[in-house]
Amino acid sequence: MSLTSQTFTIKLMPTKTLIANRKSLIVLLVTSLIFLLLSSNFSLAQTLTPLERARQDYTFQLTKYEESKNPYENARANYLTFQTAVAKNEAFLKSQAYLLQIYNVYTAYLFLINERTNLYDWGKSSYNKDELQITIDEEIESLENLKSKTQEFKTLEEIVINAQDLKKHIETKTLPLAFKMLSTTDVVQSQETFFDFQTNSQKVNDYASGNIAENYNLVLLNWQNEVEKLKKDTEAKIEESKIALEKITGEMRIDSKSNDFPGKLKSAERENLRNSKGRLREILEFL
Amino acid sequence: MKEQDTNLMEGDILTEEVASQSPPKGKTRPFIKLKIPNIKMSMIVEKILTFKKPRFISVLILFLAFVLTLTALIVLSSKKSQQAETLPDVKIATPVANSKEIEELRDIFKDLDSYDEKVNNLNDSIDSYRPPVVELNISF
Repeated sequence: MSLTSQTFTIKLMPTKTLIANRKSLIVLLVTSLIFLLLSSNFSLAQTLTPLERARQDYTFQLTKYEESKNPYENARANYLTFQTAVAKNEAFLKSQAYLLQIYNVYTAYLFLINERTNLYDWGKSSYNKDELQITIDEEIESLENLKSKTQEFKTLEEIVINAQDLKKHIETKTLPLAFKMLSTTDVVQSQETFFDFQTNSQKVNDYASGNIAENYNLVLLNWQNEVEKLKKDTEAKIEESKIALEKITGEMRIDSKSNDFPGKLKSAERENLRNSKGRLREILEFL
Repeated sequence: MKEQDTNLMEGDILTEEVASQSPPKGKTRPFIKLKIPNIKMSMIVEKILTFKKPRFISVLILFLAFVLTLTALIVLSSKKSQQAETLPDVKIATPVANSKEIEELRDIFKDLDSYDEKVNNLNDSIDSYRPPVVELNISF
């Protein structure tokens, strides 16, 4: 039979097939929606900086900590009231979960402050980033080891002893190290900004000296003196911060219930650097 | 035997030899018949249109939709990056003639802008990274 002589007959799908296809259409729509949502989330995750991701993780771990706190407190209260084996087992389970979450919170916190160090140019400072990052990595590892031990415990008594050890570890090692890391990063940030101030003031001075009108020479001279004064003052304040930084040692104890670090650096140089913003532009207005 | 007869015999032998060397007339190579399946387009179209496997159709549609969406997303993202790359370089026209000085001044202002940003970031300090407040006294 030749093709030309063939007559095409289109058969419509039977009703059953149509119903089945309607179902598949719904499945298709739902899948597409899920896929689109996932892809948008994925693109959002891609736009986050490492520091933002670390902060997001830390916030998440804190939320999980708050969630595990209530079950622990309830189980503890039940056990103290009824003193039964079932209540003790429940108290053990909830305390273990609570303790494990505490490890997660501190590990995420260390990751966050470690990530902050990458924001600044340590080459413009007098400190070594790698050395500090190694100490943070070691601390994260020791916390991970303690966490692994906690996972192996079988009794409530073991959990209580482990919690005491953890408290001591956090207050004498983890928090002093975090304090040192954050304070050092603060000084590095100030040093980097001060380095840029010096470079930019030199550039502005060179340009202004060659282009300013003669009748503004005195203005230029006074501006140069002001900039020089600001430089010396900022330098002295940075030196003060560096001396204060040396006093932060691993022997100190920081209360885990405190929401702040005691004996923080004054970082007075920051105020000087904030004032320097307008000072550098000032002379350019006379050109 | 006469001379005439001898010639006739030679002629016969010659014709026999020539006949044995040349291929026999009418006996050519055997013709191999290719069996071409009788495919009818109408039957194929009919089979597609009346295909009754909903599960297979669903999977096929899902797969095609997935590929299409993925391709669309890739195309969209590549278009965005292309747009970002081909942004025109805006040049500000200035009435001053000395372009070298203007360039130098522009660089200074650019450096000052990035310096200002750094100064603004000085707010990000130890205060933004306070330690977590955690109850570590687990006792029974």
